[in-house]
Amino acid sequence: MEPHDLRIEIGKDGRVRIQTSGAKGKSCLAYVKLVERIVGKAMSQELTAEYYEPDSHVQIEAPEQQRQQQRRRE
Amino acid sequence: MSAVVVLAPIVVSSWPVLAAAVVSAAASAGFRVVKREEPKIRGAKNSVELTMDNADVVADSLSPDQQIVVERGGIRVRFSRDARGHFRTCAEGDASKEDLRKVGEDLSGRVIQQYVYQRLSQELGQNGFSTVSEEKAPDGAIRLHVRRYQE
Repeated sequence: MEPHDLRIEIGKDGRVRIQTSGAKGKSCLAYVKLVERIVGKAMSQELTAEYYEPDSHVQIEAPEQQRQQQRRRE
Repeated sequence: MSAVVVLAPIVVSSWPVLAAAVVSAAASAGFRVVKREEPKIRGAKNSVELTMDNADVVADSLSPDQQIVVERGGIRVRFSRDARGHFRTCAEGDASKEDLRKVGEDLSGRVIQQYVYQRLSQELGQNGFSTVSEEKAPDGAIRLHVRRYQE
């Protein structure tokens, strides 16, 4: 199990800056997409050295899958 | 670090959710919610209307009273849903139009900040993230550090 971290700053105007760490390779983009789905439109993106390492495994459920799981738990 | 991304928020929400963000943002900026029966500010000289880009309120027949007014130091700021569903802000008082605009924009920004914070906290929690730390920066930004473990 490896920790995947998101450091998020929500500015006074609502603009969001997010840094991912721990998720290597292109897998970090799954988190970027998740936050985009929640917040809005990406204005800029910078990829760092970790992005070019071999991919980590990241599984994000689609919203419908989440709802189904929630129903099952209830 | 593997990616750094800056995002502009897009708000599409029901009125009750936005109203909760207004109450929270107003309290953090020292405003109080004005009750419906309180009289208007007498002789308010100026008013400034602001339309918030990328902020729409979904029509909701269960929440007919889609307006909330807050006040601080003789300035009232009204948040409402207009006929086209846009989220509007109107600041009024004796202050100059420039000052009213500044107050209105600052408070609108805080409302969006609160809305985004609530959404992120809820949705990231549903995706298996837990909060490592959370703080309010001196410049008013909210800093969140969340983590999840992946095999």
